[in-house]
Amino acid sequence: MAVEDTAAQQPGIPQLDFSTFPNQIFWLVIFLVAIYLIVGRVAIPRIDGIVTQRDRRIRNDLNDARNMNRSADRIQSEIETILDDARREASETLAVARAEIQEEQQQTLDAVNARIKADTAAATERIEEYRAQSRDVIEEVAAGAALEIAESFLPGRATREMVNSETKVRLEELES
Amino acid sequence: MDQFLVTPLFGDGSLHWYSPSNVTVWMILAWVATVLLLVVGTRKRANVPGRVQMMAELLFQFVRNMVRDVAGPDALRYFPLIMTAFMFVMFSNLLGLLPMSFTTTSHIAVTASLALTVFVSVTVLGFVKHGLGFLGLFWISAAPLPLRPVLAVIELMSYFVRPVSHSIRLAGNMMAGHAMIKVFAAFAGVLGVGAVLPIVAIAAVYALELLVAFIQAYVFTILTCVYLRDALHPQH
Repeated sequence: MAVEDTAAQQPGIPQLDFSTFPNQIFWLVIFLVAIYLIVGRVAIPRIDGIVTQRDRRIRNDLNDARNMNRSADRIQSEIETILDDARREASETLAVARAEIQEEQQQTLDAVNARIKADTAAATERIEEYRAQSRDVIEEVAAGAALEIAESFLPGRATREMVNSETKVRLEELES
Repeated sequence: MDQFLVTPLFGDGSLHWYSPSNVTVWMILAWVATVLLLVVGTRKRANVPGRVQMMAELLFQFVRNMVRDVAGPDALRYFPLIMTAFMFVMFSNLLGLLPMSFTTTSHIAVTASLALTVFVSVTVLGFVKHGLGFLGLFWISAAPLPLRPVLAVIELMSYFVRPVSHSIRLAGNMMAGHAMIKVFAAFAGVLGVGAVLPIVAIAAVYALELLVAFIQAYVFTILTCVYLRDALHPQH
């Protein structure tokens, strides 16, 4: 039938023109099936694949990141342990070295002190020796001088023994 | 109202059930739009999607989450069918907003066919899955015993009203929006310089209709999911 004519004649809305229903329903069925074939067979599997793959990739990346983070933490703590060890070792070495140096210094100091003492002792001894020698010389010279003086004043009266003992006594008095 | 007329494309103006008509044209375009968005748009299968692929993925996840959240995970078997209905309704609604276009979903013949298909499939599915236990949907065991027969009658009536409201809601929304734009356009024709007002109004209504086109596709789909849930889990 002629749609234009019926629409022109009918006062009602085209939605209630039942003569067009078979046509609309026929094409609706055809294109619903066509859309289903596209959506159900092609689009949904493809998009599902894309989304699933992306989710998997994001999950993997996150896992990798977490693992790397964990290993970085482990390496960090290892570094800290090594650093601590090194620090402890260094301070031990330092302490040992310091003790050694101190001991060495002490030894050197002791050796020097000992030598100073020995030298001082030797020098003192030599001084004593010289003093003794010089006393003998002084005694002799003094006794000789005294004997000559006594000879010139009282010839023949003074003996060498007398002069000698007298000089010794006097010199000892002077020295003390 | 001639924007809603179903007219044959060829021949002497007679419309047989098989005649290619403007219905055919706009359904082909809805199909083409679906192919462009969901198939051509995703051809690169990019891990970082472009604009079109992003939109396809968003719609995909939007409808899939709707099916899972409303009808339950076991309803995901029927997700392709529901996605088909959603894509058809959404693109028919949106294409109908083009000037000079024909809106297939503004016709009760189309929406009632869709709604009846949903109604019959869901009812058959309910009986296949649960046998007579599906009738437990109408026997509210939470209510006091004397009330149950009364409630059963009400539930049964509301169950059979479902396809009516399901289809008329969609067709009515689509038709009302277009009729309103047509009315404002007619005002613009006779007002001369004052036509600015109806033109502004048309722009506003057009924006609203864009929203309505999507929302009605969403509502149609979510109601389908609700009915599907009742069929899969009749014990509330």
